[in-house]
Amino acid sequence: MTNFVRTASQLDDAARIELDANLQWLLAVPPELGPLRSRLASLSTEERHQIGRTALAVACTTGTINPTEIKSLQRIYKVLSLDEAQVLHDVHAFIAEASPANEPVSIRLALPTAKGYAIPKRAPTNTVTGVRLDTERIKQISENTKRVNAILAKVFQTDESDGIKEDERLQPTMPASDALDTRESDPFDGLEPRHRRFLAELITRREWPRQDLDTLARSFSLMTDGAIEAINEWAFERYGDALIEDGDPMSVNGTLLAQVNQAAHA
Amino acid sequence: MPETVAIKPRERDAILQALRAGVVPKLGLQHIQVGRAREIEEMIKDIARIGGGGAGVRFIIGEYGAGKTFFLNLVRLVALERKLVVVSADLGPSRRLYATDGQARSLFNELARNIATRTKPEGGALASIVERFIANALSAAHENGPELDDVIQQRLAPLQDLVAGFDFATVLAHYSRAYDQGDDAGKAAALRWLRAEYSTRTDARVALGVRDIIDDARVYDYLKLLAAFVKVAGYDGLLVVLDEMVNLYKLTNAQARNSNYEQILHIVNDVLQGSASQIGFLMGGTPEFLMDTRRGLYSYPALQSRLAENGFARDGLLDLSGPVIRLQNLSPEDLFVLLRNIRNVFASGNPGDFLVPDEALVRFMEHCSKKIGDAYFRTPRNSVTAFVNLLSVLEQNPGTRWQDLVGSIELAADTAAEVTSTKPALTDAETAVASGGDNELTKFHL
Repeated sequence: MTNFVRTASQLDDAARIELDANLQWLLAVPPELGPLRSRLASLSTEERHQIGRTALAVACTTGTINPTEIKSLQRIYKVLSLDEAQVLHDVHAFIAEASPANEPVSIRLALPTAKGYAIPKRAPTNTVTGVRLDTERIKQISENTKRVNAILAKVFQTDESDGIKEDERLQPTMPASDALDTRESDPFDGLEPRHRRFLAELITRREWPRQDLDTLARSFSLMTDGAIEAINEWAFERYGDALIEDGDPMSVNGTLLAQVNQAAHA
Repeated sequence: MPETVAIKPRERDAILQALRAGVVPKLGLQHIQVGRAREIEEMIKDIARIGGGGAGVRFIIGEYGAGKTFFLNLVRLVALERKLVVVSADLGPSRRLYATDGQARSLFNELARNIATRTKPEGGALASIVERFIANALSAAHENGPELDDVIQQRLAPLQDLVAGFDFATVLAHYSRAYDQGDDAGKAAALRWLRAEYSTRTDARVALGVRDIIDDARVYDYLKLLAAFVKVAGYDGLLVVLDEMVNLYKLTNAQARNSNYEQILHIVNDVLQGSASQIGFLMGGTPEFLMDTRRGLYSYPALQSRLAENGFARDGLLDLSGPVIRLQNLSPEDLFVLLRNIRNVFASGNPGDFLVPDEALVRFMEHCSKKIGDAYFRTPRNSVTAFVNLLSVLEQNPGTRWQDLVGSIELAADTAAEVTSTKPALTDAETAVASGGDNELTKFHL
């Protein structure tokens, strides 16, 4: 509180000293609830909410809050004739917003007499009829979004060229093959032989009713789901997508298959 | 902005379809994510830790509409991409972490049904995982000669010390024998057990020869077992995503509530003390669920002290190492950037194909604001749906001017916002949300 008073913006030194003295007095001689209530009653809801939020800001200065503080705040809100339930929402908003995870807020220049920092004004709130957008804030969000997109792009590196490049690197070690003979080797490099043979058969059709696929898998002594999982896992590793699309019938991902074949001929 | 990133047709369709239906897309979320870079970085670190054999627990706290479900789905996709297996479920009156009347078993059942891998991101991957494990065991058995059952038991050795580890191995052996004999009913019985669908021990014993079933009292233990199993099966770990945690706060019976909080305490303790491995938990909830002193997590002192946030980081560094991640409420600016992202998705990432200029986004927001007030950005599900519809119309009717359409869009406030305590939400700034139950679609008439 002391800090708050001493760094309050738009006060000259005299006012600051007076306010500070007031604070010390109030701390030493707490006001009685009755008269306080009647004085509060003359304030508007928004003003009372502002007082509540100030108390809340004090409680949250450490960036954390405990149940005792929450209960005290609820009492304060009650005295202020505010909805007690609002406390949790305000605390959440305060801590989430004040968190440095959010971009720096712009700060108004302090008056020459001020010794502390100006408290930034709340961003203009929207009226029911209009939308005012803070371009600075949009810029910050866009930058943050750009960053998150870059991070996620790295995670979801589905760039097909990656898979092909990898295959190209492998290419020299593999015998050249023509399209018809691919089933025994190149494009499926990295797959276990039993899955390779199964897959070679599988890609001869675009779609497979579940039952047919089970029969096919069985003829290779494979379990359908396990084999599809292994093949798709391999396809993800290599080409960034699943080769066999789930469902009944299951279908072969044509786009990816073309890519696999292309890689084989690269 | 991801303007230069190409968006795959499959992802584009998935995003637009979901947004149109007012649910969170399951694919391609990275193209519409707005901000929250540090939170996501932190989650990526968590996932790496789980993949490396560690553990993690996070409480994702946000108001209705702040994008919890969106965030959880995004993390889920990251985890799948990093070869974790993910199980996810919404808590509800009939789904809890601990119960005596089947509700916890029902939660486990839901989790097991939604089990997902990278190749089956939409769930239903249990058979795939089991078969992948057995197939590997089978090929080892062929190479080395021992009986398949022996190989299975041997590979599942790390599970034997866990609760029901022995039964688990028995069930898997049963599955592989059933496969061998072409016994579909036998396979189905094994999967039923793994999905906690047996409600009596007798039934399970008759069908599978096991002593125990997955029951109400030990859901967390079974999750640990599952985590150990997926590791053995060749994945990097297990992520458990629990949304709508506010349903625990809503339990009126103090004992029922506290026994659920006790399970959460177990999880938090195991993670913080390093006794859990290859498993991570993400729990989404509202501020009440976390902080309410009578019924929230803060009403349980042992949890409160462990969940105390670390406070503001000093020297401008953010400390997100505590288990609580708070998502900030949305602002109109967030929505604006989201709309830009959606426009970009429509254009498949090609700025030359943008259907509308920035000005149209602002005009659209003004229109929404007029119609539904602040809700247009605070709980933007309906605004987002209306925007997707608008762009669809423009796309399908070349030559149509956006100026002629914007003013005539009808939309209603997301009514779920009013009843946040009954069905909190899954909407997001970044999108709208999924909740299965209450997708009232935005009306869109021209």
